[in-house]
Amino acid sequence: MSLLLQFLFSGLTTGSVYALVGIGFNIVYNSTSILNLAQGEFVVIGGLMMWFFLEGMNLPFATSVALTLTVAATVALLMERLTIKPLLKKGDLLLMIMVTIAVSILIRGLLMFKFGKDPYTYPPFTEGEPLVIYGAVITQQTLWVIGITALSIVILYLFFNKTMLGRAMKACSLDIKAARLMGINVSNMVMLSFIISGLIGAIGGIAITPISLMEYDKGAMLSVKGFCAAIMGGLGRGRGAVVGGFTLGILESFTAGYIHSGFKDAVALLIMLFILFFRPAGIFGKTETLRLRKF
Amino acid sequence: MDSQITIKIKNISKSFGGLKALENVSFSVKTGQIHALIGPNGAGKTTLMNIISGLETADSGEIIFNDKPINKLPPEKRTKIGIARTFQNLELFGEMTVLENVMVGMYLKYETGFIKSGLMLNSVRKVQKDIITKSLNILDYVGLNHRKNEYAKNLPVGEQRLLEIARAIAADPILMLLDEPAAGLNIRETKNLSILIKNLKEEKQITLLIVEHDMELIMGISDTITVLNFGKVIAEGDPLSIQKNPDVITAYLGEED
Repeated sequence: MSLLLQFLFSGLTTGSVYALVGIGFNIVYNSTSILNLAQGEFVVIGGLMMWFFLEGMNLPFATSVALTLTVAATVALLMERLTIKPLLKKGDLLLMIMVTIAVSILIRGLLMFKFGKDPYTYPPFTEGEPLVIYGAVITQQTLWVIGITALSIVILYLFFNKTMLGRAMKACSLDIKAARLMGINVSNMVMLSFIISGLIGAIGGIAITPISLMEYDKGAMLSVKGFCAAIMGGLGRGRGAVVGGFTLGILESFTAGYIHSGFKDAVALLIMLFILFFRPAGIFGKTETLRLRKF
Repeated sequence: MDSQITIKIKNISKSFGGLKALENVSFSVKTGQIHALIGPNGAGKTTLMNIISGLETADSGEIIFNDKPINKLPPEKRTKIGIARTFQNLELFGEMTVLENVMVGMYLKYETGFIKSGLMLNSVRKVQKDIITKSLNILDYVGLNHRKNEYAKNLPVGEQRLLEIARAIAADPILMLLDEPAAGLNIRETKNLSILIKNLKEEKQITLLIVEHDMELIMGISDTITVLNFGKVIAEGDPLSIQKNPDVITAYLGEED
């Protein structure tokens, strides 16, 4: 029982990050119909930049968070303005997806220059005794990760459903032609979607690094896992990515715990193949809605 | 320039590949009128609507709105200067509620309010309340208040068409383009629609350009009718003269042997 709970919580922790990356995929996908395969890099940027400000420059915690998020938002903004915006008019989706891969390689290269190949970490947000529930040991940072993820999800939900700006963004993703005729500047909304998805990736990175460490090349695998989370729930569906992310995290953790840790990464790939073969619209998605999408 | 003219279509041509969709089309819509654009299928009516709203660009010719050429303006800017439209194949935000659809229609008038609301500033509460009140008024106006919290995609076609008109009203336009507003409507709905369109003209002082196949509706509400056939204007005039025009009869019924 204690072992099961232990695996469950470790699954929820990694699942949180997958969910955040998955949500990032969805937000960009909804506004542009492209897959931003640099999504995972923003988690790495979050972790490494946080280390840089907190440990490298000895800045206070809150300042470091603010600066890290600023960096992530700036990178996302530059990425969209320099690579996506010029290509969006041509509408070649495959080309744009390739460009996001190029950007991810570039980011990875720059991070390697700056940080080298070592893993980095910093102390948990709060020091203190871990919680013990039925013999399972849950560190406080685990609670932080899960809590921050939950909070991010709630804020995103409120943003897209309760604020006028969120509604305008949603309108763009539902019907771009009509949105333009409402006077909404679609290009700005696309930029905003990149910034938001960059930010939530970085938030995940900031939270998870004290637990799982962060190194320059973690982004690619995180992109794959996040993508898996997103397609499990049906690409473009916010709630889907959350369920997908947590499910993937838990399955991975159980696989590593009960079978062999070497199989851990295979889980995501197996699920992905399975879904693409049998349920391409995701577990919750309907096939008709998928067919209406451009990609 | 004649200030009585809201929009002037000047020598507009457009071809798709080898097909000439529009050839030297010119006509003017007078301020405060209901102007209908009719013609057999494939006459180029929707293409012209798209060119006016900026979704397509003409190969040549000019569109002059309130004495200013607008050819180069992107669609969102055209809405800003007062051109709103509805679509033949309904383009609603299906996964948003009826009320939200109208709210988004007010985007232009409250753009800063929209952006501030993204930051969740307290000062926008009032603006948001404003937007909601006005949206509800518009829904009342078109008779959709009882549907306000339903998803747009769940509405029957007739009500979806009304919602598109409501959303267009939200932008507070000078000129409204209606692309086949009566398609898929039953007799009672069409009758209500004709009253609504007349009200838009008389109460809201909106100039209307309407593409429509329902001749009874068109003849009943239009001040002026322009007839397109194979991309060319073949006739223009009031409903009575159009009904008697031999060229129009030929275009619709074919040549007598």
